Amino acid sequence: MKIKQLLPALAALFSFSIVALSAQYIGLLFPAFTVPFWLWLILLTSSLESAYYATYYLNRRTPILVRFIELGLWLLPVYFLCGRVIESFLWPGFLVLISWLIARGYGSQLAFMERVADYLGDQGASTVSWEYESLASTDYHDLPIKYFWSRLYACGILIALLAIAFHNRGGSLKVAEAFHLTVLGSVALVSGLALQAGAYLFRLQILWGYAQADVSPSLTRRWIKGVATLLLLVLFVVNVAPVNYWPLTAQRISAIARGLLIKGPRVSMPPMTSQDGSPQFEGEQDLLFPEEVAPGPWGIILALSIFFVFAGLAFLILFVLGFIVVHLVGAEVERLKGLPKLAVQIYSGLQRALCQLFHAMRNARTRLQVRGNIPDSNAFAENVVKRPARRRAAAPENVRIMLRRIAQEAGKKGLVFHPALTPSEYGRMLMDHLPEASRVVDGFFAGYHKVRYSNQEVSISEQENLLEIGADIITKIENLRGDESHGKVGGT
Amino acid sequence: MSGGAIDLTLWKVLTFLFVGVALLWETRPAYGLAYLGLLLFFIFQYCQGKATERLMVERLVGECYLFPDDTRSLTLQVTNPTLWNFAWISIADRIPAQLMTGKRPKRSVFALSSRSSQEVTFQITARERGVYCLGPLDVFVGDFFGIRTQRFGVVQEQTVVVFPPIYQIADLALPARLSFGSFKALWRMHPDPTRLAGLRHYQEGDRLRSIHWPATARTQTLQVKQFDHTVTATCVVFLDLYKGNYAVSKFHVGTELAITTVASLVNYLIQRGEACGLVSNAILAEYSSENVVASHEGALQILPRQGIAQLTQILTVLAGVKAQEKKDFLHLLTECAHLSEGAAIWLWVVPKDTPELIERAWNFVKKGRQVLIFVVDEVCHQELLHSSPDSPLQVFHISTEGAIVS
Repeated sequence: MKIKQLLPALAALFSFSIVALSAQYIGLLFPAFTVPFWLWLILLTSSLESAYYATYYLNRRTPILVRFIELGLWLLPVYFLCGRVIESFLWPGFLVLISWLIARGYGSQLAFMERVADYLGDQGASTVSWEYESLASTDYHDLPIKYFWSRLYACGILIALLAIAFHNRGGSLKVAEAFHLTVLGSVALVSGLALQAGAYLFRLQILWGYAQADVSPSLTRRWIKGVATLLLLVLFVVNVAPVNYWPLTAQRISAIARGLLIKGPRVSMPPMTSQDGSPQFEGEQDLLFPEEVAPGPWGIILALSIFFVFAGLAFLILFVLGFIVVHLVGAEVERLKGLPKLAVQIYSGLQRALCQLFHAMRNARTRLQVRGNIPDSNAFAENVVKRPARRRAAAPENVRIMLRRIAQEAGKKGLVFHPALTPSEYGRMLMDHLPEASRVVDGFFAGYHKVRYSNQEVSISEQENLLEIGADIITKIENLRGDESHGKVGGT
Repeated sequence: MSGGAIDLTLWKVLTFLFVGVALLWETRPAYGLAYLGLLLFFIFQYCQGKATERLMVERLVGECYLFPDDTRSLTLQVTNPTLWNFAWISIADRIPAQLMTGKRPKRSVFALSSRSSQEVTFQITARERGVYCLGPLDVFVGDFFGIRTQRFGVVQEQTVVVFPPIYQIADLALPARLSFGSFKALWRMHPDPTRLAGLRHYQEGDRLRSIHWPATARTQTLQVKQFDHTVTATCVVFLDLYKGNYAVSKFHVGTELAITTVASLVNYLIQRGEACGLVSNAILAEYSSENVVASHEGALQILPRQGIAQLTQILTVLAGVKAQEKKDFLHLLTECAHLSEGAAIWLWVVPKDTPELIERAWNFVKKGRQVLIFVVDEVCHQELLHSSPDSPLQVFHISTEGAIVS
């Protein structure tokens, strides 16, 4: 999985946990603002949608209307779940809006980071000084990382302030409430730091790509492992380390200061009161507009001047507002033209994501089957009969996956599927090295061509047969390893 | 290693602020924020700094010898003896342009776990003769959160010697069998057992070991082996790299051809088993190893010897020589003639066969030397080009047109 696919999820989780944590504290401070449990689910899903949408589809040409529709989709259920009472809806709706906006910000930032080429302009790849990715660097390119740090700390400060406010009010926590707060705080901490580390890796990967660096394939895996270790350490320290041990707290300092003030010298001041008892300063006079000045030519001129000034101001304001409205509407109309394309993009993106998920599951299953070396065709066929629709859609892809598996296994023996080779040529190469299975290999590649390139409808049983043949070939290749355990096969 | 810490003052000050807030107003979230700041901006940075100081980078290959167009992989090993996990390390070697083809070598980036090591491989391709120095290495170390990047310059230099190209004698427009080195002696003094000339009938007084037993058995009469009588003449190659003797417009081409000619001649002689030495008025370029050559009165001199070690030594010197403008070739002959008294054959590689040079050559011929002049630029004495192979003074015009590098 690419790190980019994971980052919006982390951003959404962080946004959700921060908003939920704040809402918990505010609910403790002001019981009227307690949030219902179902809102958490909406907060999380809206954050996820917002972050992923912003990362993959949002751009400057996206109509503003789409944003309103998006937001409406999340706010409307909240409104109905609140019993269609506007007073009950305002607070949950506000939380959804905030969570959605935070996640949107992260998503937009991730998309911005990827568009580094737009900002690099004509600079060569070698000029990318990615080595100095750091907080303190004043280089323009490290702003995205600063963005993440600023948000992380701003959210941390907000939570700390709320906690301090609750603590100073002398509130006490029940066990369940304390547990909720600890869990949400831990989730916020872990997701925030993981997001920070992931965003940094994402940033580096982009720059390494431009700088054409030779990045070790194991770097991401080791990175995730290292970050996980550090996060566990941080989580342990933050949750277990001692707190509230300092004797000189603000409360104690204020108590000492109050004591000093009470015991200090008193200043006696004369009462500043008038005869009727209300305070009055000396020489104070009522400011009155003389009535005799109002009529007369000067009064009319003054009134007219004031009228013209106000009329001019009103006209100016209307003109500016009109200009803005026309400009916005015009731009919006332009953007709306791209709406169908956007819809198609979203649809294909969702389809692709689901396909990837499905294929990952299928791949895992195929691997299990191949590892077992016993292709249970009966069970497989039975399965197909049970789920014909899914099988039909995914079968051609499965044949491709099987070819990849064959190439992967054969590659371990030195029979590498070079990009310059066609599947047919690769098949011939396999046949050369597996003479006893040449008919099987030939059959598989013939079937592969039919599934992949022909317009003919390939029946499910045929596809199943191909998969079985593929599994058989993999077994043959593995046996080849047993025969020639001293080295690689062939010199391809 | 020396570290290049990046200013984190703002975030450190903020951390102190959080610590102050936590101490004054308490609560776990405030303390948590303070602990987080301390961990990220102080403790982790300190640990990484300490671990980086112990990071070891070493080259696995020592001095490297290449011929032009050879490609070689050079390996570096980065070892982390500490328990700290390095998020990413990037290493780039400073490789001279003459050792690269096309694009610059890619910068290697990898993660390094605790107590582990990583090998980084760079590829170099020799393009031009010379002695080059790789390094220092640029090493960058970063953390997981983008807080601090450290840069180090590792002074692990490596010398790469690129020998001059070696051509076959015929490819330099020279006769395929040059008449120098071991040749037939005019006086039959030392029969060479490696050169069988024929058989004859046994005569009284012939040594028993010279009888050819198979021929004797076949002919039923005693047959004796006849050998050529040879002497081995020591050769010394004189290389002229005086700047003033080369035409400005052909300076680079001319000097490189002269050096290539010397390398090819030395290779030819030593492959034939002759003893060969080198004398030149050149100077050694930067990074060349001084101890491979004796420097006498401003001239480079390698005494004549046989064997591959001698060839390697001469080629190593030739890889690092460059032209100078202080000592003329005629001065070199005057000063170094006595150093090569034992050598019978002198091979001069020069840009032009000037009249002064030819006159000097005749003087040496009169003293019993055989002088072969190899002209890389312009032949002034055309008549000497067609001298007989037995002539003590011969001139050859060197050309590499259509040559194939051996």
